[in-house]
Amino acid sequence: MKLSSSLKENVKNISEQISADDIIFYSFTAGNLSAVAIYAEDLSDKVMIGKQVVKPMQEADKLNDYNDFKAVVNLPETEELFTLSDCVQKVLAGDGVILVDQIPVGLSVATRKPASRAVTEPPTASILKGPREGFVENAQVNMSLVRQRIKTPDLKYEKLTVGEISKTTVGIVYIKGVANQKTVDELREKISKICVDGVIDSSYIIKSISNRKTSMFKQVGSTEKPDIFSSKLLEGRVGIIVDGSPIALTVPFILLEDFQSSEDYYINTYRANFSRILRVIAVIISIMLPAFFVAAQLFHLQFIPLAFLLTIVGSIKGIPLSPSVEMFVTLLIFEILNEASIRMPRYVGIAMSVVGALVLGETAVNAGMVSTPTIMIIALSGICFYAVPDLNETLSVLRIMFLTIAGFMGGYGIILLSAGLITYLCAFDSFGTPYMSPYSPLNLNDMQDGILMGFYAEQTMRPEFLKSKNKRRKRFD
Amino acid sequence: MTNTKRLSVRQLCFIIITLFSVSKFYVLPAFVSGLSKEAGWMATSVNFALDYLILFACLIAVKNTDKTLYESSTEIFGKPLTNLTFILYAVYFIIKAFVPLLEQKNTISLTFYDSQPTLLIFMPFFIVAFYIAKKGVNAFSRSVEILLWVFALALLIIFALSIPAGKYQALLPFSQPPSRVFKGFYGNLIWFGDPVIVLFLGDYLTEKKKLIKKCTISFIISAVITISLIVVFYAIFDSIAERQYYAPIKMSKYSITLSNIGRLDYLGSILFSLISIYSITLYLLLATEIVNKVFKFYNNNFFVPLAITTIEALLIFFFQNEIFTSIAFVQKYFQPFFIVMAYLLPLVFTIATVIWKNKRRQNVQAC
Amino acid sequence: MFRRAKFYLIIFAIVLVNFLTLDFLLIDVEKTALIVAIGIDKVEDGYEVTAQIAVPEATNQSTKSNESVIYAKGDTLYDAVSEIGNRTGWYPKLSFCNLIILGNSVFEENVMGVVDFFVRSYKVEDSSILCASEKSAKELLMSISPLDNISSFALSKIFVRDHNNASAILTTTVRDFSILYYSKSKSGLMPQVKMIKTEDKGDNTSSASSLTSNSGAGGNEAEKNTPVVYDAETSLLFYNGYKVGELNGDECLFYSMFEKGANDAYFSLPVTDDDGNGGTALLSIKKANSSLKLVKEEGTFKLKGELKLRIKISDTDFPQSMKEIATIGRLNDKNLKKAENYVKEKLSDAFERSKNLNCDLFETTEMLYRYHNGDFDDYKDGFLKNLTCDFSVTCQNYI
Repeated sequence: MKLSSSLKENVKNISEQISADDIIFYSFTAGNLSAVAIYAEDLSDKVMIGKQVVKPMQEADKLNDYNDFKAVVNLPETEELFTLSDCVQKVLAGDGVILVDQIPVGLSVATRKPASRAVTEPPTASILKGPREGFVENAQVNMSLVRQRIKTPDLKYEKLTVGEISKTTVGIVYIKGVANQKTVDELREKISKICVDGVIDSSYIIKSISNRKTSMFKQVGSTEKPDIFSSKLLEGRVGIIVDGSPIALTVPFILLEDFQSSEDYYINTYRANFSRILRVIAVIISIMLPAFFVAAQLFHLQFIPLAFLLTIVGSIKGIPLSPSVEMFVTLLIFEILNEASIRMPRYVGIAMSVVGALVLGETAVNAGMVSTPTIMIIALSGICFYAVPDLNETLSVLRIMFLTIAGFMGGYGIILLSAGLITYLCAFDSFGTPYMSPYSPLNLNDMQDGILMGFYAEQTMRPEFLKSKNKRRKRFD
Repeated sequence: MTNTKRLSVRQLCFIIITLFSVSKFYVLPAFVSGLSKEAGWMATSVNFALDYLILFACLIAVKNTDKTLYESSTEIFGKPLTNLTFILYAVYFIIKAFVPLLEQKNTISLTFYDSQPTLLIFMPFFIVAFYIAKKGVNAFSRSVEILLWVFALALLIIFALSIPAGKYQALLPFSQPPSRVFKGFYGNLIWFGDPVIVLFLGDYLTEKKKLIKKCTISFIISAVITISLIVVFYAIFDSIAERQYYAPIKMSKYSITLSNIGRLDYLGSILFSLISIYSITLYLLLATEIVNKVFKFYNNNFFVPLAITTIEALLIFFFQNEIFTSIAFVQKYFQPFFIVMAYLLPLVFTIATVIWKNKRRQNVQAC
Repeated sequence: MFRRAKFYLIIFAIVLVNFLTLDFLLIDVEKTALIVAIGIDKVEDGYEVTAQIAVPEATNQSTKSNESVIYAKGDTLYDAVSEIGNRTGWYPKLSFCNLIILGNSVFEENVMGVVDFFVRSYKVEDSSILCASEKSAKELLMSISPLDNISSFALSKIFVRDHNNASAILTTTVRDFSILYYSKSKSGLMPQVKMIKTEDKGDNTSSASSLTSNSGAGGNEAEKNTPVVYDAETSLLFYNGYKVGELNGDECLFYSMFEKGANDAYFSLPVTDDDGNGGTALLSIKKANSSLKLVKEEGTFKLKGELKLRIKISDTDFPQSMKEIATIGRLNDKNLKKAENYVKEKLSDAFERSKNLNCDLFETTEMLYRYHNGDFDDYKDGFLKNLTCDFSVTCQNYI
């Protein structure tokens, strides 16, 4: 519905649409005409509206049309509004809307002041060396953190609105000329096509833009750190910033990204390589160890060295459960403990860990419910599990799958499941990029930042799998 | 050509290196040792030499045409004959997969499991094979790129543990009667003849730059790996080599290192088993692709691989414990068929392609 | 999509049900008899198999290793091994069996009748050490050793392959023995284990220094429980699977240095020093080089062996001057010559003895086939009988 010339009618219509106590309708006289400033009490900057908008308008001699009152407003970011729904949207977004009698055009002024927490180090990505800033729930703040790091006019920020009801701002961030334009276009198209009621967090976007919606593997990169986000943009990836979420997204995503840590680039290359190898080993251990242990106990005793086997046989004497069920139950308890300790208040969580690890574990062994090697295997697998925190969700499911198949079929089950998994991972792409890059398809250049990373000076080219037009990223002359 | 059917020369080379060799690791070393004794590696070398001739012919055929094999064949031989040949190739690949399948089943059940496991433990292989065949050439070839690392690791383990245990004078004398070499060569044939695969995979090649050179090097690597394995194997087992089936698991257990760290050699064997899954599935994948080309079935991406893996599963179900009888049976009744499909037809096709191409060139020049 | 999730759930449920209820001929590890050594004796109506089972408790108890020994009889070896399972309810697992002992009764027949069971079976590793018992295998496995609670573990220690570097023990495995049996030489060697009783009855902490040399089977229960240590310095010679004779300790030692992996060893020799003092010296030898060639000279084949040793005196049973001790055990020329002759004599003895017994100890027939293949058909019959040997031994002081 278009705005009418009657202020009363416009105010009435708007108040009918947003009849909430936190929406303020402030009436005043602008020159010789009546005017109303409409804003959301908690989202807008009242002082700014008063000083920069209302006061200059009150002091104006006369206001005949939209251009007159726009001229007296001391704010750079203003917008003409012609419909009631636009006015409502702006108010709900935190902007102030000024309506003047006899003028059928509204003026929105950017006076947003949403509640936002301070920029702090994200708890999920703490590091010893390197920048400690983390994204917050405000997209503007997040974008400013990125701009602080990349000061180029080629850094593009395209805003899209997603969510039929929530009208969330989703920003596509990329460096023009570095990012592959096809990826940008594909992403824009996918985000535009998202048809949901609301986008509460960036994870909603992940689920909507992923190629394989039922896959347990991440297909979109996520980070809480602006330094990682910026470096990914510099590599040629495209970023997504969602208002209300501290987690920014990047595409295309490859599996290897989860094994890379921002710290790898800040510390000694030798140590970084060692850490990466450790992460790979840790992932393999966390998935495979319980499965192999159960398979070996059930089907392939010869895989276990005799001395260790004798220890196992000694320790499982009298255990009422079969090795597979024993491992499964212990793993289940571990997962429950894990789930509970994350959700619990921090102080209770610590107590919970003590109860879980010491009391429950020790007592279970003493009571002959589970054997010591099983507890040890689960504990080791559990520790390794957190070496790559970004893969947690996937690893926990994979671990159960491998354990189940190992208990069912033994080692051959593990081999078969591995074959299936390799094929599955090799078969899928994220925004045109093979998921297993740079190992499949093999690319020697991109392997410089693979499981083993080359020296900083050697990494002169951008990853080829991102198909960037600007291939060279540094030059050492 | 859809997105799921792409293959690079590098991927083809990796297929040649890993899958062409791994299928010869299990029964062949013992088998050829039985037939040719210390000349086993010579017999195998002759097999490789012959296979290279076919590979070279196939590569020339692939390089000389921009069309798919099916299209070229239809153009030269006509559709009925092409369809018939393609169906025969589908049958060939199904039978070709049978022996390695039995080898894998027996390796798994005899060497990995304490008690004789039920067939149920092996049957999920076909679910995975179906899945891989369903995913198509692109996913398969990409998987092989990962497998190359696995293959390298497995080789490293097996060779590092077995090379010191061999007594290499067991390979003497080098002068061997040709009849002994030929015996091994002929007996080996059911494990060879893989180059024909290149003819079919050539359809999916996105580029053909340095195709012959790269594939030749890969084939040489594959041959060297296989022959080295046979050499080390015979050096370890000498007069009892004939009995030592499932070579990788047998030959690497004599290292002193193992007494300290447990049976590390099993890891090598497990990794080879993983690669074997792909080497067997390659035949099923090709059979699937061939049937899809000849018959344009509805939802052929699902039902064709399903049908082919089911046929293979039934074969295994009925002949599950008869590995050596089955090998003897295949050798007795299918060897000529194998020779025709793996050696004669690729040669005929290559010659026909070259003649056809020259003829067309002459026609164009005449015009 | 929801349908697919349901499909995955159903698959997972099926696998899980199988996982929790599975019984694919699964063998519980607690019901598995982990056989670490096996002893085989020939009895009237077949074979008696004595299996030593590693039971975890045994490692915590001092003298109860016998409890982990079980035996069974059968027409064939396979029968007897299966019988162990039938009797105990345990599943006999042979893949950990690292030691196979053949009792003296087995040598009345072709031993390959027994050994080939291990070549045939996928369940036994052919890397298992093969040895002969002076008495019955059962008696050997039932013995109590101060070195380990499980007698086979104590026995295995003397066969450790690393040990080979400094030992006269000619360790052989199922694979090695079988390879030689099926080779052109058709011969073989197997260390023979003798039990040596210790004075210190029942004291497991006693050291090897408390050994006595009195041997022989114990007659009463007390004697049976006497701890023993094992000696495997002699080796049995085989031809075509039949035991034909044996090599004594020194012969084994020098043969081992010559043909196998032994590098360091000791032997005793009467010596006289420059001052005319005399007595027995313990000589330490280290292999510098060895070669063995089959050469054809004037239409006949000759075995030519060369062995170079570094030698020094480690100890003497007579006092030596400080100068002699300070020269790090140098031998004078006379003693060097003596040592050379001694080693040469032992090697020649080993060759001649084995030759006379038809046992091709140095695998010469195999050498004829490998290195003189053209002559093989002409010479193979009676080759060993017509063969002469010429060993040349050179001993040098270390410095």
